Parts: sequence; C-alpha cells; structure tokens
Amino acid sequence: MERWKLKRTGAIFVEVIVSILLFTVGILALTGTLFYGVKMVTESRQETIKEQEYKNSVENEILGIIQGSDPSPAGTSIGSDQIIINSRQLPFTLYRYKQEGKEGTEMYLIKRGNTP
Amino acid sequence: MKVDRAMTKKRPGAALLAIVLIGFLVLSLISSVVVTIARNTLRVGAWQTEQIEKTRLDYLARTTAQAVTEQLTADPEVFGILNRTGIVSETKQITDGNFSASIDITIKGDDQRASVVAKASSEKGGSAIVRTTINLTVTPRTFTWSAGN
Repeated sequence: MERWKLKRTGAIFVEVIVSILLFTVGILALTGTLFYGVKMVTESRQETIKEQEYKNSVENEILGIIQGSDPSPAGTSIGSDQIIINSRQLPFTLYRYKQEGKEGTEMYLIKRGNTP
Repeated sequence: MKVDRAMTKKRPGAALLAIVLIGFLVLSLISSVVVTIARNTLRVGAWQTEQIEKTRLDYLARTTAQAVTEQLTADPEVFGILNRTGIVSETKQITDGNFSASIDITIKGDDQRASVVAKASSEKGGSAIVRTTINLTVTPRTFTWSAGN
C-alpha cells in the first residue's frame, strides 16, 4: 500500500477532488429539488385561486340563466339543437366555457331557445 | 455512529463502509419521501379530473332541468298531459371534442305539481341527476331544486 502511494503521490488528492465533485452534484440536486418544490407550492396557490374564480364565473352564468337576467351568456356558443320530449321539441343552445390556458376544464351549459 | 478505532485500525476499509451505509440509508429515506410526494400528487391529479367530470355533468343537468322547467312553468301541458307514469324524452347526445354526454329527461306530475328529472351521463360512467318540482297551484308558479333521485 505504502509503496503504491509513493509511486502515485497524487492519488489521494484526485480521490478527494472526485468525492467533493460528487458531493457538490448531490447538494446541487437537493437544492434544485427544494427550489422546485417551493415554486410548485407558490404556483399551486395561484392555480387554486384561478380555478375558483373560473368556477364562480360559470356558477354566476347558471344563476343568470335561471334568473333570466342573462340574455346572452358569455360562453362560446357551439350550436343550437333540440331535445325531443313526447314528439315535441325543446330547442336549446349549448355554450362552452373554458379556463384560460388550461386544457380539460371545459364546462357546458344549456340555454333554452325560442319555441318554434 | 461510534466507530471502534481498534477495529478500523485492523481493517482500514471499515470506516468507509460505515459512511457508505449511512449515506445509502439517508439517500433511501430521501428517495422514499420523494416517491411518496409524487404518488400523492398523481392521486390528487386523478381526483381533480374526476371532480371536473362530476361538475361538468352537474352543470349540464342543472341547465337542462332549468330549460324544461321554464317551458313547463309557461305551459304545463307543453309536452303533453302530465301523468304519474312519466313523459320520457329521447336521449340527446352532446359531443364536443373529447367530451361526450347524453341527456335524458323525465317529466311526471298531475294538476297540482310537476317534477322534472334531468340526467346527464358521460361515456366514462359518471352521471348527475337534478330534479325540479314545480308548484302548479300558485301564481306565479314556483319551483324547488333538488339533486339525485
């Protein structure tokens, strides 16, 4: 062992450098994870507020339809159709609502159309 | 961890072994924490998707019931003479992008009151039922809301 050390005097120094490097990489990874976690928590707070605002706006639209105070809903009209009840028609317009910038949050509301 | 000096003197690799084992233990703990957090995040994501689907169907059923109720409030016999057997609508399919749902309406009643049951069902198996009960004995006519059967 001693003979080997004498022959290669820089071996321990290289080992230390490598171990410091590995340790630094590990610490950096942990710090990154920590920052990412904090960022996720902050973003999720904003996301929850946005989701709640969106849900409230759709609820208000429903309230407007029920009260009859909302002649033209704010949602995107995706066409008019009719439901057949006992051979009689119930015309309606389908409205789509979507939370800005978020997929899979579409909501649909029906508003009665004018009877022919 | 206390390392026996005599032992490490005899076996020069023993201290390193202890350090490696402790390091391994610490890393295992951190990994298990990370895996638990990831699993919970996925579970919350799945729950949110399910909730959105439920809300979507509920809104659809609510507004459908409202549309039928409006018609019935104006004219109780607009869809035929009310009876206790029930007037059943044809199933209406609503499709938009990945979303697909069907709507079924049942109207029951007599000369005192009418009840409208609107059911919205999705292809994924979820459904929402909303019922309104219209009081036909008062003017103007009033109605109450309830959810489920």
